[in-house]
Amino acid sequence: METKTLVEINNLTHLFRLTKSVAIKALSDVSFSINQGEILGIVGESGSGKSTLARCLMNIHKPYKGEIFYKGINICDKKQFAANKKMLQKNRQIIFQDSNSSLNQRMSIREILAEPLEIQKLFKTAAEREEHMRYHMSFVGLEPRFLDLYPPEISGGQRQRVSIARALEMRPELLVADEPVASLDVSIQAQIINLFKHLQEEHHFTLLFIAHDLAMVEFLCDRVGVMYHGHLVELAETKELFNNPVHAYTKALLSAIPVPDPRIERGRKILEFEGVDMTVRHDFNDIGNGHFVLQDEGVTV
Amino acid sequence: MTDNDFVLVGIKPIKLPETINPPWWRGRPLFSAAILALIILGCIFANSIMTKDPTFMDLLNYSKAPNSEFLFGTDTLGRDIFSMIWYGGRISLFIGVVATLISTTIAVIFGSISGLAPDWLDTLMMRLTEIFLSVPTLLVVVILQAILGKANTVSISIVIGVTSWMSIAKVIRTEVRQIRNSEYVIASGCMGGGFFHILRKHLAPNFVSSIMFMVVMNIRTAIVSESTLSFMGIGLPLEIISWGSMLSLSEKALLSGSWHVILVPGVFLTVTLMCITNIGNYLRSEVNRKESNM
Amino acid sequence: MRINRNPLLYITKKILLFLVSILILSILVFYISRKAPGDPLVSYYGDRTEKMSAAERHNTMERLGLNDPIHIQYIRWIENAAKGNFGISFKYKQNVLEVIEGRITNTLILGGIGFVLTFVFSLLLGILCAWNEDSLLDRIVRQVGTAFSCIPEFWFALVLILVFSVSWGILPSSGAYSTGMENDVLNRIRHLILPMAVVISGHLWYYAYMIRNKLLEEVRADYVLLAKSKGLTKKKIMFRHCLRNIMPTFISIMAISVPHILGGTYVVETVFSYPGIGTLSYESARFHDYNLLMLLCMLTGIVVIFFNILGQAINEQIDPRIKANEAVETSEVLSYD
Repeated sequence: METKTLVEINNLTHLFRLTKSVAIKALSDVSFSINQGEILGIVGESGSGKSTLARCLMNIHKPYKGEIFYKGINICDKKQFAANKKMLQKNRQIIFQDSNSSLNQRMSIREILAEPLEIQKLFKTAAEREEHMRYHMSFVGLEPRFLDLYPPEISGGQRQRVSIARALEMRPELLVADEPVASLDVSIQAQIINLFKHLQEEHHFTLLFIAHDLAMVEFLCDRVGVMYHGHLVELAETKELFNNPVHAYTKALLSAIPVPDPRIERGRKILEFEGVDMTVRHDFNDIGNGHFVLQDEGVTV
Repeated sequence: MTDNDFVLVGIKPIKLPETINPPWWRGRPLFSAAILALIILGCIFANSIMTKDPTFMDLLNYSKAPNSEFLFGTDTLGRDIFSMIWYGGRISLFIGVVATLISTTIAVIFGSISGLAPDWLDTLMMRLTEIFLSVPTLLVVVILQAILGKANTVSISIVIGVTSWMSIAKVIRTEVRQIRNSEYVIASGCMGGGFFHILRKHLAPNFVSSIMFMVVMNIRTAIVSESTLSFMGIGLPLEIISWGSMLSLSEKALLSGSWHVILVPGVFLTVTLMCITNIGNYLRSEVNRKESNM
Repeated sequence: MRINRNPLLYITKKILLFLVSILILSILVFYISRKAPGDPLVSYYGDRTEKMSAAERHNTMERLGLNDPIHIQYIRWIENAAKGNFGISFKYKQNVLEVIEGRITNTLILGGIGFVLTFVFSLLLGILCAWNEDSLLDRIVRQVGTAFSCIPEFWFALVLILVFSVSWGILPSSGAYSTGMENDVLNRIRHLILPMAVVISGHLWYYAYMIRNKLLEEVRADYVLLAKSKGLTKKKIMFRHCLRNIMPTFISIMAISVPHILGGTYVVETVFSYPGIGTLSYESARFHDYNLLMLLCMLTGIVVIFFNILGQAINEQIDPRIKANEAVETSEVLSYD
């Protein structure tokens, strides 16, 4: 199967202004592309810029520098964005980490699910819409009776399913999931991850999956990117990355994954990562097989 | 579930003494609401209550004290005050409501924009609001109306409306700023929800309860402003009957000693304002009743 | 303490803000008053304007400089104002400064004393209510206060005149003094009683209630428990601690409320035909006496803006955490009056 590029990100940099003269760099010079139909995982510790990346992709933040092309449309450009606004808003959907705050507690699940459909005017009659919502509810494993409940009345896992249903009912091409399971119990996390895998197989949407749990990413994703302090330090196919990590930070990160066998676990050594000076210039080099690593300028493997 | 079911699963239910629910009217401004309803109904059905033509100047019977024919007496122009009260109440209440509608609309739009705007614009808009807020509203209305000259019901509502939106706007802006970074507002924006969609679906339900009290109080302020203006002779002219314009005759009434010309409209005005205030105070959420440490 | 790092810069900033605000105000008033419908000549010539021919009108307008474009008129006004020349009043046909000279003292007496008395009485009443929280007295004061705050000021004034002047005839109903008794203090006081009562009663309850609530908030703080456990008496806790803690806030609120009490004074003046600048500004606005209106608006504006900035400054000094834009939060509640 030929891989088509859905999203291309070039030198994306984003600053958050603290005061007039002080700012922090949440993203610096991030470049990569997302292929159509793949699940791309992004991992990194909190504060490494994963969510900022997701939000830039969704046009929530306007990047300080750099470009994002979605099917060739530069969405950072005001004119191009405005011209394709409708298509972009329908085809890109986001799922937030905390379903508690991403669903308006004053609206019933039915109203929540109906909101995007109403905005995009996808259905002519209320009956059709209701049918569509019920279908997607069952798709994410919720009974239709939940439609009349309010977010505080259902559990966290169920709420997250509602968020997923809200995103999927638009039949998006790109689904951005910003740590969708981080606020859930471990047993529920597994359910939701399985749901994602299952849904993706059915719908063939492209999924940008942001997480800080490596095991989950290994199970779910086709390719994995590792972020550190606003930089994308390594990007490769999942197997390649887990078997053959190159960047020091990735190595340290992988060494921290617990192993189920206690005999091995006891002898496991967790690598320390001292941190690298991120102020020097770096190159994001391809070291073969689509394996990209961030390296000091001039270094070649 | 019956008590037995609890016992079966090993829970020993304790019988609690029957709690008596306080009667539903406790703490509600029923009395005020009833009186206000009476006054409003009286004004709406003024045509069937009025005993005389409120605009007719009975030159033989001017400044008459209340008697069986003229229930509240006549004013210095010979008009029947009883009929004027109901007839004029319409205008007074109308101005109160319309001016409040105007000011609330401005406040909602201004406050939401300021709340959603980037910091610099927000600061600018709030500075502006504060400057407006610091000027005594009544003074501005008086000067503005005096300069503009002839007033009618609509123009006076507009003048009062555009000068009294500031405090509501400030509250809305604060509330909006609190929820504008909630993920559900961001999500709605991602879905393509425009400003008015977000305002109606997500923001308004959140601030409605906190501005209810201020909106009701705004009606009160508007009625006071209208009556003050009309009394000073720069509001509604004598021909347009309102409680305020009825009081504009009070200087003449003072000279002729016809107390009812001053008292009757004033009492109606004050009672209405008190009822509105009581209802407004009820709507204001109870202050945290923590036990005193003294 | 961000603000105190450079007091000079801070003060300069505030003064600049003050000047800019006044400049904007003057432009606004100038523009609105000239654009408003109405004939300024009426205030100059009275009924004679109706008989004037078009040429005469034109000449007069030319002479008064009213035919020029508004911005030219404004620049001329500003130039003259800078030299201390605010023009003549169309109605009184003398320099506007002379017109208001006699009146301003009257307003200052009424407003100033009214302000001080409101301040003192509301403090006393607020402490009294907080001291006897939820007692019969507290409840009665609150009820009466709510009722009073609903009564329109002008109507309360009318009722007072009706009772004390018309029915009982014990107090004068209008003016600041009887003719020829300008320097008779007793006579002036007798004239002041009714207007003063209205000025105070319009605001007293509101501030008293605010002090009561602030005190009650304070009484619920943990340090009161500590003080009590140390054995301090209720009186000492209340006056040494609670009252002292709320004073700065209260003072800043009072500073911000100066314009509001002033505004109330203006209305009261017109009811009692009290010869102050309130009556005058109302007249000048009504009869398009431009120069007089400008001067009065500027005076009022200066007072309003000055006390606002002062209130903000006090607030910022008390609590550096409060930024300038939040400091006025306290004035938010004031707009109900």
